[in-house]
Amino acid sequence: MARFVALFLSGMTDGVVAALAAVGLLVLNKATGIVNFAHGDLITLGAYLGIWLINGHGWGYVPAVTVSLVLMFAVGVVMERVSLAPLRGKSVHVVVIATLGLALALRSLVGIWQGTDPKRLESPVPGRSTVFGATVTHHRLLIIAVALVVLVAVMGFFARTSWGRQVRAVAADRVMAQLAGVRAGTLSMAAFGFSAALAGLCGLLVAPLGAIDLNLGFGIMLNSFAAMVIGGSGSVGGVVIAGVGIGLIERVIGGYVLTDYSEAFPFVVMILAIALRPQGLFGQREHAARL
Amino acid sequence: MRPDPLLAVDDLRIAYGPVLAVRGAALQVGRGEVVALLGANGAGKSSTLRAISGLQPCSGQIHFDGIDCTRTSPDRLARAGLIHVPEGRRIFPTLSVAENLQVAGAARSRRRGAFVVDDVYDLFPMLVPLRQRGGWALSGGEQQMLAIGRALLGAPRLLLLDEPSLGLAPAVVRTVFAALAQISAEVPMLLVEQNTVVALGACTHGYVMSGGRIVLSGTAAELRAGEALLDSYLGQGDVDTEDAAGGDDPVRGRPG
Amino acid sequence: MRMFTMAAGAAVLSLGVATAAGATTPPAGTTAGTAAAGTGAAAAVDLCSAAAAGPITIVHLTDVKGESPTAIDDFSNGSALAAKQINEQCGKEIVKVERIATDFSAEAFETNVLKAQEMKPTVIIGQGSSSQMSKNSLVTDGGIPTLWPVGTASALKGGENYSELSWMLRVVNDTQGQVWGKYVVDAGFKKAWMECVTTQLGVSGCGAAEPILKAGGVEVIGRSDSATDATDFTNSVTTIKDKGADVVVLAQFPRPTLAFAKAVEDNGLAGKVKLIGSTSTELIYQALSPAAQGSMVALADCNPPTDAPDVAAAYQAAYQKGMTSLAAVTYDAVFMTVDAVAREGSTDPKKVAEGIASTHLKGVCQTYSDSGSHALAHHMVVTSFGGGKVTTEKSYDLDADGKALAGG
Ligand SMILES: Nc1ncnc2c1ncn2[C@@H]1O[C@H](COP(=O)(O)OP(=O)(O)O)[C@@H](O)[C@H]1O
Ligand SMILES: [Mg+2]
Repeated sequence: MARFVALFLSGMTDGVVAALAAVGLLVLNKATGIVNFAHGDLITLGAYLGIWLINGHGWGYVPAVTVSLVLMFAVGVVMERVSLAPLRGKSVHVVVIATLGLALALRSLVGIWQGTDPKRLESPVPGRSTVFGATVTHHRLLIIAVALVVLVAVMGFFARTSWGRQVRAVAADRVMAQLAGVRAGTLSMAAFGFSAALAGLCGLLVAPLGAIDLNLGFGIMLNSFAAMVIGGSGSVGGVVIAGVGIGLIERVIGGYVLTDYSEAFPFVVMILAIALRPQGLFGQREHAARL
Repeated sequence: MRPDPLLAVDDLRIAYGPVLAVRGAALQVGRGEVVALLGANGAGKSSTLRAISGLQPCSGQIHFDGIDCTRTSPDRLARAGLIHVPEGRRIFPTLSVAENLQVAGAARSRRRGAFVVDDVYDLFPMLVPLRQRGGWALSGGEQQMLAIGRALLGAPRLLLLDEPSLGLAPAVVRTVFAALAQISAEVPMLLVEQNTVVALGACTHGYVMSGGRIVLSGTAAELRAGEALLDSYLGQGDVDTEDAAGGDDPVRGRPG
Repeated sequence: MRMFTMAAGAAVLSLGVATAAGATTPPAGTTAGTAAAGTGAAAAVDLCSAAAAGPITIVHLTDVKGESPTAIDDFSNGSALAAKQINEQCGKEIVKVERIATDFSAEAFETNVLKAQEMKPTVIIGQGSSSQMSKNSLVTDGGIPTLWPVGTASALKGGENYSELSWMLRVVNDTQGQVWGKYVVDAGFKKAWMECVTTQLGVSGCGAAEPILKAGGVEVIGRSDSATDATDFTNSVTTIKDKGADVVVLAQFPRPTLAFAKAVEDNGLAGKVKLIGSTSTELIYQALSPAAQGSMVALADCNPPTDAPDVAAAYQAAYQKGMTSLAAVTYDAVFMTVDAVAREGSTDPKKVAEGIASTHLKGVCQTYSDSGSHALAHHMVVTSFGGGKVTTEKSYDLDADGKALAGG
């Protein structure tokens, strides 16, 4: 039981983080058509912003996280303006390669700025408790709680608010959305900012779990790609379920069988999903996909 | 005597690569008018509408109530009240009927329109039970009604309608045009149609386009009187094109 | 303390490198006689005399990214400091270090090593990745002696990646594994968990550790093999807790090492189970909490602040960070090159290669010598990190071929 609880919690933590990252990727992809390979490095940047403010400048967690998220939003917007808006209308391959370039540039810049030595960030809730014999660090509970609240808020935002509807309209038919008066260009920019802020939140949440270095976001991004593909790359809800699902499969099932290969589980599931249901497990018919 | 033009198009030229789709067209829509733009498939009607709503690069002059449409983005023109219901309706498939209507709030912006949501449901009562249905699950007629309803909630000062009758059963065409007749009391329209009979029944003034040029114009009565000439124009046209295919797909048609 | 005289501020002549005849412990299997014959001199050689043989250039392939990004600075700092010290001491530029930035991909390596060879340097210092040694045939073809700040069994004489022109400055992985096993046995641990990394080469040293543990009466309660970027060790740590291990052979890359140590701490095991980290631990221990630092020891090729305090102090002053064994081996590589040129009186690659083959350089990290296997390192230490500093706990001598623990 203790083992199961420990594995379940670690699976949930990985899962909600992958889901957060995947939702950021998805929103951007839907609003702009871009698959952003710099997402992982945005996650890394978020963690370093937190370290910079908290360790470097002695800020409290709440102001540091708030300011980091605002900065991440700005980074996303600048990224769109400086490097991707000029490519609008170019082939999707060009844009994807541009995001790869951005990823490398971001990583190098963070390395120059913060150095390449691994860093440590203390959790704002450093304690731990014993649940059914398993040690549960409060930080994992914090990650799960924050991520779930944010994910529910994001889903609510897209389902219920006027801006959320407008982004979905742009995702469904960009030209028609413009004919309906939607400022698609501004929304693209905002989607970049929003997606970067979500990435930053991921980085800030996972930083206290282990160590932070320039590779922090890369693995998370891989899992989130798997979540996006499995979830049907159309629906926020599907992607969240997929993200949490692969986290649990990787950790809980991987904790009992084929332990040494558990890191590959998300991709095995992803390949199976592509083979069996190209539209994703939660996607409906092509035109029925929901954001 | 026609009223002051709300929309004035002059010497409009549109080229797709080497293909000249529109070759110097001029037309006007005055306040309170319903103007029909008739013509065979491939005549250049949809291209003209797209140029007016800012979607299509072109040369020539297009002015909507003092705004230069050739230099203004489609979403700004929509927010200024120039609302285009494109060929193929283009309902947002992933949004419900109610949400499709709500998106029009972006075009309405802070202006006040003549129509509110309840007016749309009064005009098209068959949409009422479909409020929560996904846009992808609507029939062609339902989509057309929703597209018109969505346009009305954008507080239009001029409606551009691209072949609203296309692909609809005659009974549905009658419902749609009955609604358009009511709407025209409030909003002027530029109505593109191949269905001459319904269009001439609905308009005050009409233009006939062929091979990218306006070849005939006049009041509805004048055009009806010259029916033989009209038919000769509607019979010809660039039949080498497949672009009507967009209109054949009731779900996701794309202009030309 | 080990004899060492190369330090900033020392007299020019003391830059002379002690040969094996003057070293405290000649490498096992090498008699003093052959060592003396090999170098042709028992006395110190004046490094500055190398100037007579012409300018010495070293091309250092410097990593720009990789799994241990932090090692990058250390490798390049080491060679830079050595060149600076030699040139300052001799009062003229004797040795010049050129850099080519490269990454861990094999394609990049091929291009860069060819580029380096075209520059016709005296010696090339390879990058810190043993996987690059699979391209050692390029080194043979290029004809420029190449010193590697890594160690891998496949590049020993007789191995598939052997090149007569390439030498390894660090202990090979399998030998590291033996040191792991020996230390666990020596320190009296009873129940070990093995946390091993799987790299493209499949090597981690775990395999070599296991038989030594078993022979020494240590119970191996389990083993996990994970990727170089593993982030979650809940499964391993839960097992360690359930079965009560008192030691972990932590044969992992830097970030997983940190994540593992954090997981151990989070599960209340800090102080209850000792972690024995790999050679990269010295690069990253500062990112551990004080409690986690206290429950960790690690392997290293050497511990410069203890082994060569003067050089380590000069390094600290120059770079505001402690000198690691990685910095020490590239530092030593520059001295080894200049020493070889001075002794051979030539910068001809063949002569320099002979000079390296006959080296008995007493450097910061090692007393380097080659018994023919092309492994130059014969010594390894286990260090601890309590109190935020690196302390040598124990040291182990290896056999002359660098393939095994001496006598073990
Ligand atoms: N996107 C396009 N690319 C190339 N040619 C086009 C495009 N759209 C329309 N055309 C061509 O322009 C001409 C006019 O098309 P269109 O404006 O759609 O006519 P209509 O709406 O009157 O049927 C046709 O010959 C059509 O093939
Ligand atoms: Mg048309």
